[in-house]
Amino acid sequence: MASYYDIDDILTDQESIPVELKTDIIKLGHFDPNTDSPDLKEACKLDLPLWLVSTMSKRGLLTVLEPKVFTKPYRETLKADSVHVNLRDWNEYFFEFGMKFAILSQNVDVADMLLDCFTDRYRRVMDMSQNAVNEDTSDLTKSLDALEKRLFDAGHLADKEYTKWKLRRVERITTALSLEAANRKRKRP
Amino acid sequence: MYGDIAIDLLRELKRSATHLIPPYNADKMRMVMEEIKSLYNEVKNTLEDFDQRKQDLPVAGSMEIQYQGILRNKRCLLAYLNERTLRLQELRWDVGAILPVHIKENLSLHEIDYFTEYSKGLNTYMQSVGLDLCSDSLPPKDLYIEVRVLEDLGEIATEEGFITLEKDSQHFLRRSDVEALIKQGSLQHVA
Repeated sequence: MASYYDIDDILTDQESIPVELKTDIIKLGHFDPNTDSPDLKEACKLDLPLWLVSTMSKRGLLTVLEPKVFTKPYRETLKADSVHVNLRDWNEYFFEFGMKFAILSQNVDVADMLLDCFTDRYRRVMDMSQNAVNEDTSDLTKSLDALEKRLFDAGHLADKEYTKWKLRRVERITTALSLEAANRKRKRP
Repeated sequence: MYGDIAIDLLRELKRSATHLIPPYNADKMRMVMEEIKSLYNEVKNTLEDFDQRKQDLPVAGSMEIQYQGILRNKRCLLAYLNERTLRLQELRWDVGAILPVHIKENLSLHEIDYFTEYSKGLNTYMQSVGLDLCSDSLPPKDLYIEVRVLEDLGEIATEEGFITLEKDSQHFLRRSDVEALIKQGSLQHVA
């Protein structure tokens, strides 16, 4: 369970899920751009953020539908070749959002797909992170989702520290990271 | 949707470099708090208007959604403040007790207070154990190191007397005397 203060977790909860209401809901007509009525009507379809959907579905207020990136055509694409898909374009929090969605909707297919897809791609993520010592990594990581990016960064940092240690550069004192970033910004015209 | 402004705040933090503290966004903080207040009033009004039917799904559902909106906003605000506080603590260990001016500009009054108090607490602790925990964060290999001066510092006191540090001059000094200055970016450690 992620921490209450975890920003990535909060942003994951912001991803929207299509739902169908099981009941009327008073007052909140402005959620649905297709109606002028002040209330929400039963069976109307909406996109709601995950944080709202999870509590509402527990109370039986709505039915959860499949977000676009977890529908069959998308799953088939991943099955065919997950390594070359740009997951970030699909959804920045693909895996974490997917896990939450799979639990919420009890969707075993999505859960299996996530595991297979992650396993397929993991090798490449690791491989890249260990072989990019002094490169600009933005090109390598642009197709990774947030979880993969965190793994990549961890691996990349470890590799850099190891190289530094091998070259005996560890004992050199450097400017504090927090200041360095600030100074760079300040010096820019 | 409820919570959108609060999410903007967090995205702003995420976009900035990991160790940087971006300007404190008081405007958005206030807007989110306004949203929380208005949601609270809406829930209260619904409760008064529909007292007889408050168990019905359409009414209860409406209040539930707005209540979740309040909780969501609260979580976002607290996460925003928490993340900034953590970065501020890291800064204390990195650069010492004096806040650089350009970083101070980005902080709220409470955050400056927090930094001062945190710093005080750390100092008291270091005095009680009799050890400067901020120095020698990496095991030193040599007692003396070669440093280049990046900006004019005037005269500083070292264990072996006073020395004037002029821009672009190079010196061979005690590591413990200059470690803090290197971390602050005024000197460069030349290998």
